[in-house]
Amino acid sequence: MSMTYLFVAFAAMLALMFLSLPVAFAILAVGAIGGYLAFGYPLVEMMGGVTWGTLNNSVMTAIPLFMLLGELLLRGGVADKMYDALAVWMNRVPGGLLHTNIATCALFSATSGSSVATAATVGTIALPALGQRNYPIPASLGSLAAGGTLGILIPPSVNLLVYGSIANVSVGSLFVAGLLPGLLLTALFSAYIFIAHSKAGRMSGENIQIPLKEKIRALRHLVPPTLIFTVVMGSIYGGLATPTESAALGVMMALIILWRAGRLNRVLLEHAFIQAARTSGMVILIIVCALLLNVTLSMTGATQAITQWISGLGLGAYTLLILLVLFYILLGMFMDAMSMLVLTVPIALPMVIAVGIDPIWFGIFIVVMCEIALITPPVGMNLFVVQGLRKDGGSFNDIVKGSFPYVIIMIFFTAALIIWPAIALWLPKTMSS
Amino acid sequence: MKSLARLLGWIFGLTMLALSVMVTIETLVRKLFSISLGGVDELSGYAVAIAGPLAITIALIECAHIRINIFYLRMSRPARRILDMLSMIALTILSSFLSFFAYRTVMDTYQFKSLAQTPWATPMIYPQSLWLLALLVFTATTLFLLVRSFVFLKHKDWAAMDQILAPESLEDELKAELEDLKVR
Repeated sequence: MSMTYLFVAFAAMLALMFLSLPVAFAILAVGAIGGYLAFGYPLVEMMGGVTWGTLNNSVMTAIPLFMLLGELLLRGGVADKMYDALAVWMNRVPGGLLHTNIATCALFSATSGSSVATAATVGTIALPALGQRNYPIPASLGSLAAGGTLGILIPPSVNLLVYGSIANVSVGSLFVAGLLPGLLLTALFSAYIFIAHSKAGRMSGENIQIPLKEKIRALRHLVPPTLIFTVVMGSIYGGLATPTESAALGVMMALIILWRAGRLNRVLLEHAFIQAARTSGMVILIIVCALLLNVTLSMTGATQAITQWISGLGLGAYTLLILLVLFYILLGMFMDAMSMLVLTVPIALPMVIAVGIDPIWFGIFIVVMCEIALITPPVGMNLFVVQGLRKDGGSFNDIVKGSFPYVIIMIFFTAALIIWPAIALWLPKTMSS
Repeated sequence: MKSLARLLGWIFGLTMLALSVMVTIETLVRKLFSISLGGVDELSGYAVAIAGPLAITIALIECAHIRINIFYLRMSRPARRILDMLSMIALTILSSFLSFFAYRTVMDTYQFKSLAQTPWATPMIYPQSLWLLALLVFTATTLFLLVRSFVFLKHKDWAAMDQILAPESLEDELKAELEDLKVR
């Protein structure tokens, strides 16, 4: 197995994808044809058994359950009221509602897996309030687009689940590893707003004192999401439950919360079921195809070839990671986050393992790269979502401009993650098994 | 098609709810009384193996399978329709591939009377037959959509063709989210 074949296969896969053929098909086509060329029919014949093994696997079980949990909380309106509750606490901090945007997105993402839903929900509530109080437009839009990216880092995260199943790494550890980087990045975003937009919202003359009693009353809206997050992450961190079990606990709690709020009905359930099935189906098909490709990659010795190639180049860990950062920023401009993840992990993972990088750390690294991809033009999904929410008909460049500082922050954050890997690895190490 | 999606959605959702109840009870009983009910892992594996292809079918009906459309969006309508057709053919090949090799696996299971490597030693033919059935639902749906799109092509009914083939745009997805936001 030489590297030339690998590069050809990778290029073929990219070409099929950019032709807008389904990503799953592009991956499977290269996997099956490559396997056939290398070993003939017997290798392809194995793929039925691999498909069964992939679907009938405990990591796979967690995916639809987390999707359903997110949908129930979203459709049940549990997350909608968080904005108002946070706004009354943030309105006197320099930067005011911009912090509310970031904080709501962070909390919202702790319950939901979809960045479109996160940005749409938070944005719809936030934009009128921001406009009313004369917040600068690019800064407002940027904080929403960037805040929305936190969803894929702060657990439970679909991207981390997908990474875990392709890279064969413990999803529980990945979730725990994502927590501290997620909070740090949230804090960095807020610190930036504190410094750069400290005067934002001051002109409105609307600095009304809200009585403390009312502020405390507003907190009750934060109870359900916090409770669910604590149970889900607490049970994983404490070693009490596997990700599947914690997702199941979360679903049960969500049902109870919705039932008590009188919102549990047929229409809501049907909507949540279909949406959860839709996103699960999309992700499951890609994972199945990626794992079928993995069969070909491991049988043809591609993994060793990559390892040898990287050792032969004599690259150090830092050089390799810097090259990967550049590669991912470039790729992320043209590709959506999930496709980028599935396309590159099978090849990038053996490379980084060859230079002694921890696969859990790499999962966090690659998800931060996906976050950057969500807000870099021309294909940055969150940019388009926020643009779609605007009613003022302003230019797309406002959002690009407003999000740009956050891209820089994320790049600095990546550097910090490379220099101090403990940011991601410290918490999983303290986990009880 | 929408009613098929609804039906499959309910099957998927109720399976997941049943799974959540079962897993929650097992987890609580295990932690509180240190008794394991046993077999829950095995059952949940089967549940997802069977519900997975149904979810994939729903994503197909909703045109949600990921396609990278950076160049697609810059093309003319006719060129896009060619790519849509190619994508539908690709998905049909993919679904047939999965069903065919699943069928071969099930035949092996039948022939060797394979049992699960678990305390229950479940004959694998039961869960695997249902899994194959779910995959066949996916394959049948791709075939149905493919035939329909060829019929639309013949009649040059572009609107109908776009409706079943064109990838869901971000605007559509956003619109649906906003509609939903209004009612909740």
